[in-house]
Amino acid sequence: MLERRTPLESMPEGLMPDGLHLAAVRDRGLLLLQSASSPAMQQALERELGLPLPAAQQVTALGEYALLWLAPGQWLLDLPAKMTASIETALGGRLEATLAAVTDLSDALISLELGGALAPEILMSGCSVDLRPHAFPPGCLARTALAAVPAILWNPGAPERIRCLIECAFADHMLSWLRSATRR
Amino acid sequence: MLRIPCPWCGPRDEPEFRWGGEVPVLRPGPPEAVCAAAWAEYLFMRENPKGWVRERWVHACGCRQWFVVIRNTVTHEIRATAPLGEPLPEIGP
Amino acid sequence: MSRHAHRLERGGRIDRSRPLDFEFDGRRYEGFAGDTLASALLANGVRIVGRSLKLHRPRGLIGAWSEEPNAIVQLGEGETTVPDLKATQVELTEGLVARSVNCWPSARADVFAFLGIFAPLMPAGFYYKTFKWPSWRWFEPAIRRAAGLGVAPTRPDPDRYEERHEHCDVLVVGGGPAGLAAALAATRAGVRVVLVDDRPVLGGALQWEEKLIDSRPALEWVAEAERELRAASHTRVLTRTSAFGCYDHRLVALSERVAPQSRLPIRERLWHVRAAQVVLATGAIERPLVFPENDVPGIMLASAAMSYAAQYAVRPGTRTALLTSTDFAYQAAKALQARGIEIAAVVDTRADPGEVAADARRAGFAVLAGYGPRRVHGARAVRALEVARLAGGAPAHTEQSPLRIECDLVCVSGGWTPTVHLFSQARGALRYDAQRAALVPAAGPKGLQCAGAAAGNFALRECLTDGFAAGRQAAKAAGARADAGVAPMAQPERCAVAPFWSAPHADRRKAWVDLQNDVTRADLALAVRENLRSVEHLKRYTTTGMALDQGKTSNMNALGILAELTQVPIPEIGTTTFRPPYDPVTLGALAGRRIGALYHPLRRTPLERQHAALGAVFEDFGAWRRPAWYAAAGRGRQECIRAEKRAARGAVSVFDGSPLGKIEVRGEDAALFLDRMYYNSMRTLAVGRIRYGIMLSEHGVIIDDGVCMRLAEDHFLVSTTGGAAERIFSGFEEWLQCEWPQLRVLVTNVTCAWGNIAVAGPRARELLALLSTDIDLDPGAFPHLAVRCGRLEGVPVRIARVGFTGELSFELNVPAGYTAALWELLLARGASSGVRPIGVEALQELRTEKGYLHVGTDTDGRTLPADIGMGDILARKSEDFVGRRSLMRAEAQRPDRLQFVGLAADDPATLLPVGAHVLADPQTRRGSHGYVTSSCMSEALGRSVALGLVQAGRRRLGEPVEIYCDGRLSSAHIVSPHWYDPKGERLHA
Ligand SMILES: [Zn+2]
Repeated sequence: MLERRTPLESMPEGLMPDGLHLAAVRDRGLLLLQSASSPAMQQALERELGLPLPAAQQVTALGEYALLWLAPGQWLLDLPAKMTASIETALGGRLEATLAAVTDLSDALISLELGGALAPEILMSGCSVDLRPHAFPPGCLARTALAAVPAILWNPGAPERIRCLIECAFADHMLSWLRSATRR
Repeated sequence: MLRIPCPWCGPRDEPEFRWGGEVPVLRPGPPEAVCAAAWAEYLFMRENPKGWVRERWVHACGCRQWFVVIRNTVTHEIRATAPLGEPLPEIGP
Repeated sequence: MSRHAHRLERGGRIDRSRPLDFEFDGRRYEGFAGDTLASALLANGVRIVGRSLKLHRPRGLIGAWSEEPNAIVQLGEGETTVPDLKATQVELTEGLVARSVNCWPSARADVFAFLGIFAPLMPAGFYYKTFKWPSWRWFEPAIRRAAGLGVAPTRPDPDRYEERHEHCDVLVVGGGPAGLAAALAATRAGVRVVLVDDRPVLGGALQWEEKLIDSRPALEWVAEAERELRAASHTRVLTRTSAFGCYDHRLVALSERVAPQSRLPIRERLWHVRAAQVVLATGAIERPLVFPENDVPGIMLASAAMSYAAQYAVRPGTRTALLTSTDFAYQAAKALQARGIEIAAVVDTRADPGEVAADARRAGFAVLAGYGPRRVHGARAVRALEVARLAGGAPAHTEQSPLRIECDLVCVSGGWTPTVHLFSQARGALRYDAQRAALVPAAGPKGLQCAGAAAGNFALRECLTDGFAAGRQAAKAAGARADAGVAPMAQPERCAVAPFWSAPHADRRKAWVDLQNDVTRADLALAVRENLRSVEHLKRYTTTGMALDQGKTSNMNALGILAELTQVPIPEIGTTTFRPPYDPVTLGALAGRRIGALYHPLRRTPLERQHAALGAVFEDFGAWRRPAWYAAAGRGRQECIRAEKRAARGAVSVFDGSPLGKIEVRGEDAALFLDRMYYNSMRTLAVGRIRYGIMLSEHGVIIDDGVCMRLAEDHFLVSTTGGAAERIFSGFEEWLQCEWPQLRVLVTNVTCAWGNIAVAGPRARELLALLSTDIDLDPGAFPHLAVRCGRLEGVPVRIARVGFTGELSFELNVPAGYTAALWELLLARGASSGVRPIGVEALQELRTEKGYLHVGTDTDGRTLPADIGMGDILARKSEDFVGRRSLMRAEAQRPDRLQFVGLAADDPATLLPVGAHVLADPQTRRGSHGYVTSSCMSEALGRSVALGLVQAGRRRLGEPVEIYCDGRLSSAHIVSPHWYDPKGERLHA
């Protein structure tokens, strides 16, 4: 079996100036769910995981699972890496009769978490969406641009934390951008 | 820089979007039945009015959905946006 | 002259316990903390602070803040130097070094001053008239040297610049009385407020006009207001921050000079503020008067003189004459007298100024009503002002009884011009208000309003009520429900004005309208005589209101004079368009952190570290950073690339194809959809098979090529070229959403989810056989152009028998995370087979000799399928597809179109340069029959090979041609593009 690697493997982690904290979110899988019919998807997810579909720009979460709204008819399931293959098969089976697709994007995106009271301000140096707590409360999600590359930003509910999902090819770019943004 | 209300993501800055031209533009077909003038009309000719125009934009850096915008080409005011195929106010004077 | 010779004994918001040394034009001076460079220079008796743009006349300080047109300085030295700052806006710091721009060696002794004697030769439009022959380019370098404003640093800027996006309910621009009142009202109403002011301290004119607000000294009110605003968690106060641009939908750009005492090593911060409501409380700028020699150092705006005296405890002169057409000058006279400056006279151009003059006379001031300026005595400093009685105030005045007033300072006060730059930038309309003699805001875009002096309310009392009302209204419009309370109150005051656009006979001596751009009233008159009557023409022809200054002190006077000259009323003349920036912004602030590696985001493949370890030389290909070739110690670039090509042709090569676009197309209509997207037929593709296809625009032009794999009846995998993935995927989405929403198809971009390694060469299968897989690699079971899904070394794999080299080739697609391990395994296991990684350079040469075209290199924006030899497919495909109708045009059928062919130089050692033209007529060397698109030395064929687009090329195979490039001719023949293995036997091995 080949060894699995991520562009974040040599990423320095830990505390940064001003109480900021940057960490790679590891051992997570990502499944892109597409469906022409929301009720079919709703049913499949409720039966399989008990997760309701989130509204636009929202995230629903249950235990170790989070379901991110991406677009009309598109969601991203953030789940424990070890569950990815089996859930992919199970959901695929439940959706077989409808126009739907389940795609493993675990390797396509990297997931970073920036914590600290200043996290919104740091991200807003390269993002035009208002990420401050009053405008971006827990469960909120924005698909936007961060540091000039596409990004999915969401608030996982823990205080002062923002998750960023970025195309893995931009991992190095994003890390150097974050380094420059937090340099003191 | 415009602030465009995406029907799904809410108001966002213009660089997140891409402009797709006036709508509606009907694609003529089948090819054998389309005269050269009608094809040229489809490819090149647009109203380009001074004032209110109906056009389509895509939220390229967000939900990637195409939608219709009613915009004033003089003031850049945006009167309404809606998903493709959903009703929008008429564009009056 | 002793230090601080012109410093007042008392007063001022300066810290006399903190003296600061500084240098200006090479001389050392001393100022105090709290000074600006301008106030410190005045305190030291420096009167000449700059030289005028064209004529290099000595110039002094006119203003005290951003309105200053003359004191333009270069700050600092070396890599951190900043050009074109106004000395009035530079806060004094210890060791500050500045020099005046546009003069050498200093403003005091400028060697270009002789230009003054040529003044009659440099009228309006002088550049356009004089330097046209032989050409402007011939004169430009010398003129730029004499006329430039400041110099750019030549070394990289070591400082850091930040950027911030901000959102708020109410943005208030301007922290004077109106802005503070607006910010207070909005803050109390409970909405999110941002208040910005470009000065280091809030208060605006209250800093020097000693007035009462709510029966207390105004500065006490300012301090309390600031405390309240800063204490509110939902309000942000930004000082030293200039709002320089106002754009669509209430986006306001701010440039913040990060305070020197900030703990952050950041010089400036650029803010993009998107506000639901904007209140522009940008104040007003006092107008100078236009009269002969009105540029002599020592002529100053009355408000500036007050500011120097009150804020910085500097005496701008010892004895002053005030020259005015407004009531404001009487306030100034009182304030200056209170600071110990002798008032020689108040000269009022109005015949009957009314009560305000009577009051002044009662207080002991000499008032000359109905008098106007004749000229100023003194060249480098004011010695006296000569005035004369005006006849009835009519434009055609006569002169009587000239009167000479001895003074060393002339304070001018010609009325107030609302600062409407931002309002106008946002397409707000302006209206001429005759009573106020000013352009005031009229209809504006939604959510944008002016308040206070910016709206023409010049008296403090109206400023406060108007500002408060604007703040309250903006908060309400932004959704506030709380009550803002009661507006602050001040005493009524007199603000009458009767415009005096220019003095009679002002054209006899130079009467300056725009001091920064050296434009006189005579220049405007000349332009009008030459029929440049539109205000927009006038601006460009005379340059009035341009450059750093943006007409702050000149626009309104120029407009008034134009009205006089053309006998057209001001409202009909209109005004020029204001454009950002209001004040200069540094390029550093605009660039922010988007410099160096962060300038342009680059994608990196999952094998970045592996390539680096192998000595890869990276280059940017579109949005991807990819290995161009792999360097080996002691060997040159060409040698390394040759070795890579030899491995691919003779043994086995591995190539990182991860950037290839990968798009999954699923659903019962997938085949139908792809049939419409591709020129080629995809419905007829069998499951497990691959077809090469090209995609067209609606114009029929080839936009991309690649392979399409059918993984199942209703499941395809589309492979695009590396740079086209996003573009093609977006195109799929657009067609599906906008044109064919009824199609039952889902598309997914999986480009980054899968890594791709192309294993190519005669020993490719031998290498793969060393890996464990459940896929049968036997050519019978797995032929060329087939795709198989299975497992490789325990992980999911999609293997496609395609390639770009022309050899036996397998593209291995594995989940991106496994790519690196697979790459390392292939290199380790393949060592005995002679495996080598190859870069983009080698691949390009291999595909060139194979005759595989590269879209965008071997095709251009006109190339149609028939031009590359794929015309026959059209007849065999009956369905419509994108671009089909355009292929039926007569133009698309022409036999003489450029066609894709090979070009063989007659001398096999000659490399035909890319871009070289195939001559239509070798005798005359005229006309082109096409050009070379790709070219390289073929290792396998031992000769040069080239591809090109040639007119009717396929009919002309074997024909000799002459190829021209940069004066050199090469003989060549038109040949088939398939140089290497034309029968394709190696692919099927
Ligand atoms: Zn959207």
